[in-house]
Amino acid sequence: MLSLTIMNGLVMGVIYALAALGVSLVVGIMNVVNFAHGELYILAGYFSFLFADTLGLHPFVAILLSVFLIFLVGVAIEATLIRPTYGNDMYSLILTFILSIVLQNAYLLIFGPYPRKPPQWIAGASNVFGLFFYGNQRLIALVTGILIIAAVFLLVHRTWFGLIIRAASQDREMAQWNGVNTTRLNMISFGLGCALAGAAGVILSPVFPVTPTSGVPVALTAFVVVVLGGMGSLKGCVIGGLLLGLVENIGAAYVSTGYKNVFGFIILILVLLFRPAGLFGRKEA
Amino acid sequence: MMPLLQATHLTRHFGGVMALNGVDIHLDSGEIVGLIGPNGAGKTTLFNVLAAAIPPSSGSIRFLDTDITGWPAYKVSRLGLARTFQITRPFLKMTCLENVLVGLINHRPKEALGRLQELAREALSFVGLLDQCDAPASGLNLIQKKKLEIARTIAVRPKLLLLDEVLGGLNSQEVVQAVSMIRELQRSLGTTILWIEHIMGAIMSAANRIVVLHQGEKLMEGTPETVANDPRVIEAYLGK
Amino acid sequence: MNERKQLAALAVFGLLCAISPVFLDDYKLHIVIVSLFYVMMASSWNLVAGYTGQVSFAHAAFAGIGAYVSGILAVKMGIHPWIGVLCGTAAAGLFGLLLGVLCLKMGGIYLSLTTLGFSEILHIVITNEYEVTRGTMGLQVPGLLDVYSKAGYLWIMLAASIVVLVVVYRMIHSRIGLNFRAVQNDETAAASLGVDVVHIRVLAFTVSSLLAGLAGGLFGHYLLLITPQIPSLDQQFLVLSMTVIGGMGSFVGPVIGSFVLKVLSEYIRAYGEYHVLAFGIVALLMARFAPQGIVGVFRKRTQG
Repeated sequence: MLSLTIMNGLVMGVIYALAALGVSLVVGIMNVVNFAHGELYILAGYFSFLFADTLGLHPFVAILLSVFLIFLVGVAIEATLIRPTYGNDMYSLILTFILSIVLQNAYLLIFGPYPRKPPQWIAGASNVFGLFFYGNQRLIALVTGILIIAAVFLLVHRTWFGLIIRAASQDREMAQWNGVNTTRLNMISFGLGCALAGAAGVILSPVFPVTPTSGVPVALTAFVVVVLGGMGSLKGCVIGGLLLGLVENIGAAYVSTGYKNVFGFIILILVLLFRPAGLFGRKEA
Repeated sequence: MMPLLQATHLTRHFGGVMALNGVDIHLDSGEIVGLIGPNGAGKTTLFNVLAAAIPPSSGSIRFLDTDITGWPAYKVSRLGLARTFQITRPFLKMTCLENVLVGLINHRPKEALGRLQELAREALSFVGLLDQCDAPASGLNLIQKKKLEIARTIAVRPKLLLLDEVLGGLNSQEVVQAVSMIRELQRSLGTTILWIEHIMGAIMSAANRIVVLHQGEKLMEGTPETVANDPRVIEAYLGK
Repeated sequence: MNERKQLAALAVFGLLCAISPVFLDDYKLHIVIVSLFYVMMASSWNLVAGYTGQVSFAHAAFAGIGAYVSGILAVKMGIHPWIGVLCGTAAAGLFGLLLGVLCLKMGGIYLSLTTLGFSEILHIVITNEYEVTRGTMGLQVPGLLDVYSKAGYLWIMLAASIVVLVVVYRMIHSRIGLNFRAVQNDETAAASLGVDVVHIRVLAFTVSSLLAGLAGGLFGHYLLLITPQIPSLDQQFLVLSMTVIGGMGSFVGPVIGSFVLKVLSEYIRAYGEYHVLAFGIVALLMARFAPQGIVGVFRKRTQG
């Protein structure tokens, strides 16, 4: 039914937007595309499963701890792998691509091939507008996703740190001359980008369990959204994410499920062909 | 006589900033024209527009009686317009000879490689880098890199050469060397030169004509003496 | 080790491969054949990535096109595999040209993402169109030789590898090669000297996709079974790491990388399915600390 499809589209859209925000932040400030983005999403899912299930911690503690850990992992990755590649896009692309494969295989080794599912925060289902019943976890995912996105926007547009981010995105050199410690900024931004991936991971893993390779479509989708919305535009991520979520779900429901993921890539190529700046991207300066 | 280059009403904005506002500039064959102005005057933008590195937002450029507005850089280069970069951009992983060959093989695709290598060596010799022929460009020091950049551009005998602050970072001896080399280019090769520079003394002594930009517009143009004594120019520099 | 010596070493190695059926068993011959497949793939990928500086993720996809077009023609229309391989190569080249033209004005990240998108779309289409491709079950195809012989296939793959290497060598040492390297070093400077950067990119792409298509076509008819594994990101990763570990931007690097990694993977396989992880870690360390690969390490040793 259409309303259910649209609901699914919205939920996925919000999650896509969240994942894409992390990529967009890093691309905007450091001009680096983190291919391993999806693997960090997965890692957060694994962590929250570990903490909640195996260690028996309260779910909220588990997810907060997981996201924080992902932030630290992100910082570590930036310091060891990304920093030396500054200025060389190809190099960082290759490094993060290899990292992505390494992580996937490491997960296979450490966590095994079976899907892991952290516990749901709320069980059961609710009646949405009297139209259909919808899983509560998905509803919570939707709400939490929106809240986090709102928080990111607040951070970027209303805080001093956000000002630095926006300045560095516009013009890295100028920011440097104005006394911004770009090394530290890069480190924190990368960590933040990864943390956002982790947040998306902890929100959605109770619904869609994580496996070693399920991060790949997440990363690819995030890239499509970033390109669609416009590199470096946070607003674009949100709109792009929602659009993609809707198109994918409607397409899967009414056209073909097997080709669900193709829509995203077709959109990607169309955008790159006709409007490389994306919906809200900055025009070539 | 038709000017070699005629740019009319060039405008360029970046987002909300208007970097160039209706600038007219022309260059006659064989002259050295200096482009000066205080920081932020729009010199670099004008330079990049003329060099086809960025397109103008509006306006037109005619070079060798051809409308080249909006042309890609490589096409303009093949027509006979060469440029250097303020921060040199040598092909670091290639030898000096190979660096110079790149331009030659694209400008003269039908000529034999042996002949092109000769021409490349001539260009290197002109700037005094012949001994570095087979050395990788990564091993050169600053002034050598600048010389390589000049060699690269003149090897293809351009009609017009755009120089972007070539004297930056050179000591006074090297400045003298460089200026005399540039004058030699004009004299023996007949190259027309448009030159942005901050080192006033050098450009005032070498240029036939000076164009002054201020806040994205052409303030005035004239001989070096006229410009140096013009109160508006003095105020533009001091008033900053 | 200068160029002449490198080529001489390559020639000797090629000779060794040619006579290997004499002293290697069938299993080991299979490893050599697969390594030769990777030599073709890595060398042609190197043309685009190492020499023009574009990271393409569509290389395995082009091999897949070569394999599937040839295979489908053989199965559905009874076309002889040799002709099929030619068609497959041409098809791959055509797609390479199209993709190159698509990426016309882009560079860097945009280009890589486009190739990624293309690769994924192809993978999904192949997996879904069961009627034509038999999806994940795999398409059974006839071989190139009437009588199956490992030695025969080895010589075919060896000959094809030599063709690929010669093409790459000629390109790099020609004027085109100068333009390639100029674009790789500094696109903007290259353009200012008259290099048509777009044209160069498209040329590199098309040639490399032709070579990948050839590799895929031949390989498919050797394996006798074509699966979506060929045009997959995993394959792409292997090709990428072999080139990176061997030495990107060098001529013999991809050859070294292919053989070293393939042989190593066989040894590691004896201890478990960890070879991909092992490669990944080695590739990561090398990319981070020795970006010039094995070739680079050698160069430093002999110079220092």
